[in-house]
Amino acid sequence: MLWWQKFRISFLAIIFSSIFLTLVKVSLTTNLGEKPKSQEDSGRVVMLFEQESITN
Amino acid sequence: MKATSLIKVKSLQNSKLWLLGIGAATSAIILTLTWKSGDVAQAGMSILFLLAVASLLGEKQQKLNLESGLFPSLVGGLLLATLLWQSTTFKSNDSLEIFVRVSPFLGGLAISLLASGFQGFKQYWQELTILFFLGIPKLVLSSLFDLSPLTAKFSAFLLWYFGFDVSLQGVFINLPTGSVKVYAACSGIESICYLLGIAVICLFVFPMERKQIPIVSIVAIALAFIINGIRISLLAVMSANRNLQAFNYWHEGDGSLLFGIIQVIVFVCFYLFLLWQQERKNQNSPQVKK
Repeated sequence: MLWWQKFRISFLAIIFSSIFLTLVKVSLTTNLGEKPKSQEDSGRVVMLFEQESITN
Repeated sequence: MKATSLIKVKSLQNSKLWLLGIGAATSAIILTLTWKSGDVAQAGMSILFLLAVASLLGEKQQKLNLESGLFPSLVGGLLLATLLWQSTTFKSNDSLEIFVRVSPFLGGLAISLLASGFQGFKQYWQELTILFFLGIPKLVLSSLFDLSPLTAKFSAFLLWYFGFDVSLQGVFINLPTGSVKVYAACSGIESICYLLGIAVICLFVFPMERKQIPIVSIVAIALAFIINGIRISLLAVMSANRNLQAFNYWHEGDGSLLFGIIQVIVFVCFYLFLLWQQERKNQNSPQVKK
């Protein structure tokens, strides 16, 4: 498996380049999915406690 | 001049440096996406957990076996490729939330396969456990059960204990002049998972006796639940007083994050106390023998 030891560095270099390019793409992208329709959909703890009035 | 270029070429042939680069770039992608998702708490926790992983890896870097075969490297590469593909194609906010919670663990899994293969995999069990607790327990637990009725019950009990005229209807806490509803995501399950993760980090970074591990875990869960219950009670009182500004501050504003900080500070104080007790016990034991 000596060929693999030689090839491994190139393999890691290719993976690193792909991740780096994806990082650039992700950093430049501003629109990430759809905005939540309501506070309940947002998934944030701080947003999900809603004040409600109740009529008994 | 020749010596400098030789050093540069030799550095590029060092797999350790490439793996470090892969780890750093993957972490940067995860942190960027977490920050952009608007989940400040998750972003803060991700930084803390990744720093803990870096610290643990830094301590044992000389002992690590960085030999990996073709098959584990391919599996690791494929896993990373899937993560990269996912990170650029989000269809909804829900899938983004799942990604920011699952990707740290899957990324860690992929990088450990690339670094040491299947045989050296167990070298990273501590780091992988920390990354697992960064997001997966919350996803699993919140899909399994809803803690909000119990949280509402506890908050209503606190209000009753402090003399408020309170009544409880499932997840609704009713006071004479106002009511609040405790949603699933406000039930404290997230705080419990975060504090459990911090407990895991503490146990790995500052090891403790085996018998103390269940105590540390139970205290972490109880502290997160109780402090969140106090927060819900305070919000119910603010709602009843029609103080919407204060309600929003403690619910959505910086005040809501303050409760998370309080949870961490109280837990760290408890852990420091246990460590101090253990140290004292260790110092005293040889003297007793003498």
